[in-house]
Amino acid sequence: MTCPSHSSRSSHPSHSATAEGPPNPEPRTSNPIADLSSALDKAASTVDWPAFNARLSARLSSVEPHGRSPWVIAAVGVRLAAAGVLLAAGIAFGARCLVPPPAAQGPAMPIVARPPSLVRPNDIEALLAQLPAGGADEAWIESRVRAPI
Amino acid sequence: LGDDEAGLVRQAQAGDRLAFGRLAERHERGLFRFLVGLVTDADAAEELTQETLIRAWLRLCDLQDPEHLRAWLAAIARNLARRRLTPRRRARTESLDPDLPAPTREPISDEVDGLRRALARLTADEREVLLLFDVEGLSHAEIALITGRSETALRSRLMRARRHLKDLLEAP
Repeated sequence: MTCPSHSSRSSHPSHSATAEGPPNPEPRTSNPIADLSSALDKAASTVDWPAFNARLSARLSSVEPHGRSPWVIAAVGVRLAAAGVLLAAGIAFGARCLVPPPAAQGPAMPIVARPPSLVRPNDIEALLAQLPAGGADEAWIESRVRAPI
Repeated sequence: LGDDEAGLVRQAQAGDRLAFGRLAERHERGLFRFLVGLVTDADAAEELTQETLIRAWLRLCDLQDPEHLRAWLAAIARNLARRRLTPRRRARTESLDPDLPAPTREPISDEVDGLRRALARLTADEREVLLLFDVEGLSHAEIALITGRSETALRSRLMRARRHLKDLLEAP
């Protein structure tokens, strides 16, 4: 993790602010940090690294690296699904804009009741009763149609 | 880092255990230092270092850019340490109990033990940024990637962490 030749970046030239571009306003050198780094080095020196590596090697040999993480695959799947949903929504929206649904054509025409017949059954009976015996001629019909029954 | 390391990463990604072993040897001390600073317990840090490297081996295919190996390893270590420190996902800024039982190993000196206690009094966020930047030498950008925070937030947190550590060490 660190430069092998030293422990604290605060004392290493390659870790200076200028090595990273713009000057860093934070002072990198402070005694507590150096003390901390030194203490961590001392802690690391208490580890039996050969034994650590032997144990690690034994553990590594018992496991196989996985392929691409299922989380990565799942993330790709979710993105594809989201894109599909958006595409479908877009198509549906576009289709709706191009072809207005029936509801968009305005309210349905009201069913208008046919006007009631002007001649009611009772009127017809009265008319028939007035028919002359020889039948109705044109003049009689004319007079009857124009006249209120 | 360098081309050599990138080559080792690619070999390891192809399943070469020896190449991964060499990478592990390069980074194990740094990981341990980071972890012992985070959990302030050498035994726990050693176990977490093992666990970090095992996970790295298992998930090495997920590493896109070999140049980011160090930051990637630090991110794995950080996540494992966080899980250990906050098992029930409580406050992420919670400090460790400074009166935790001392590590099973004997402290090297009173000075080291004092630092351990001071570190334990920092919040997890403060310890993390202090160790990653000041001790392990990662850049702001790398730490931002690891922690998911903005570089501006990291800078202010780093300042606070340094001041806090200094105050703790100077306190009687």
